[in-house]
Amino acid sequence: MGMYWQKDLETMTASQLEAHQFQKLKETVSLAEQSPYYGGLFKKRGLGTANLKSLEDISLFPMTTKEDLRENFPYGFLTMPLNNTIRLHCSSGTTGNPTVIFHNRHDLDSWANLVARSLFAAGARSTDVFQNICGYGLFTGGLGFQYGAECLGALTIPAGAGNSKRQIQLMQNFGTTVVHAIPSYLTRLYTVFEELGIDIARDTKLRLLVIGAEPHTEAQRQRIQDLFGIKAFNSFGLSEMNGPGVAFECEYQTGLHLWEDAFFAEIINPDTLEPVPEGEVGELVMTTLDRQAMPLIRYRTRDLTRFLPGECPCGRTHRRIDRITGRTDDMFIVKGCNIFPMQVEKILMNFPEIGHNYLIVLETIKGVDEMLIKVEVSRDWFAGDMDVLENLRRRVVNEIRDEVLLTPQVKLVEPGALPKQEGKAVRVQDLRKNEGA
Amino acid sequence: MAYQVSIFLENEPGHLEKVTTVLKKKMINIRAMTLSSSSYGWGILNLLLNDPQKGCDALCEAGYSAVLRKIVVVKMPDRPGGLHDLVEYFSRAGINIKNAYATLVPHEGAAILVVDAENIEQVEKLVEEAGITKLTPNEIYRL
Repeated sequence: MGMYWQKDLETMTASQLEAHQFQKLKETVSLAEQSPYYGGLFKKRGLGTANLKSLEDISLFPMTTKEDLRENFPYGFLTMPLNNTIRLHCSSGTTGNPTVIFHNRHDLDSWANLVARSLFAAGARSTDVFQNICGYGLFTGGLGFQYGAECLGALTIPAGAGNSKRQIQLMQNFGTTVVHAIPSYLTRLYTVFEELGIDIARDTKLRLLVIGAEPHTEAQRQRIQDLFGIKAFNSFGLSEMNGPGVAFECEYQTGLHLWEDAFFAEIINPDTLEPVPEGEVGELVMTTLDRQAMPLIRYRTRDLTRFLPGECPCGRTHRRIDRITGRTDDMFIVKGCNIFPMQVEKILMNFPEIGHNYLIVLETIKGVDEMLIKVEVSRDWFAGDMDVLENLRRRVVNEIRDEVLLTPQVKLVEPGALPKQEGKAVRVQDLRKNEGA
Repeated sequence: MAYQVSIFLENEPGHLEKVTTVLKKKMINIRAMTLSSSSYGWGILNLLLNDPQKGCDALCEAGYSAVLRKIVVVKMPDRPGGLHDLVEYFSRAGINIKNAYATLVPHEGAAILVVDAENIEQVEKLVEEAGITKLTPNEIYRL
């Protein structure tokens, strides 16, 4: 097996990869035609496999959005009779219809294989004990990593989310070596290790962490690595593209290899829908190349990233994307400033005096929109000195203002005062009064 | 060295009460206190306790950012000019007081001044050299 899970696929030359993608794209378009949505759309626009003379011709096809998925809920994208499918995953659908993805046996096998390949690239092996700390059920991180780690051959513990003491007990009972969890949970789990007086290096066999499902900064990853004393590898996926196993970091941590034999990726300017120049940040648009029950063509992920230049020393030829720098839809605007929560987080992570938790509250105060940032005063740094705290507050204000070009109000709060972040962290609370809305 | 317990508190109704609840449950007695607030919605509560270590541990356990902070506690006569004589000395010695609070010890006809300063070790040394009556930790905690 050596260094790769699937050497032939992972190390294809550019021309081999292009030929592979072109073949798979034709199959995908031909399959998609079987679905009510794409069938109707292609007919109306006179599109079909005959239009595909080369890979670039994918640009002739219209993009697919989350709204399209919602409007054609639940079966509009299905290419086969429902009884040929064997699983679905869907979003919570807090606004309007949820989005649902169906899988047949081939799709699930293909997905599990991609997750296994991802874990292998990060350094996990069949000899590992893999503890999956995330919600099972509809959330794809649970079953996605479960089947992936099983496919890898690791002993897999479906630990589920929460209950930190039980998680640590499982790690000790079964000698867990690899953990997958969302980053904000790991920083919290560390405090429980501390409380219990358990030394990770001495008392556990942990050797590798996999983090994902929640946007996070490089500083946050570094912090997790420092706390646990082991490497943390970045995982990227989204439920519309199966879930985890879309792009993953290898041992060199030089960005995330996007599995291009299974997905065709484009990066576009979200306003003009035109491709951005190579290496620039834009919205990731993806086409499934190996999914049968519900292929998606040019799906707009809303995730912002860029292709990273150069080759990776690991020898894998699939292009790498940068960590997600934000989403086209989590940006908020205060006093005309476009702000991503990640910008604020990046700054806060440089202050060890404040905890890992923070909350951005957008409020209308005396008719003016204000950005209030609540941060917890860390027990480890508090010295009982008023001046030190005031100085800290002022430095946080200044650094955030320099980054986002808006002066925030920074409020120091007691440790534990902010809501505990269980699932995907909610970092922004918009309490503004929308005039005329 | 003597210690006070300093606690970070948000300036919100009910927050002080939660602190006193913790101390009451642990049967810890407060001998003196001062509460200061910044203009940004938070402040620091300083407590002179009969058992600072136990009090600080209990508050940390309850989730607070609480810390033991070194102080010097000096005795002064309970009469007009009592504080003045002390402060005059501090002033001449160039000592800058960061925070201070006082309480009466009626049965001794005296009062005590709790001093929190930037360079507390130096303050302690100066106080000793000047022959000012300094309370030992045990004397303070048994007030």
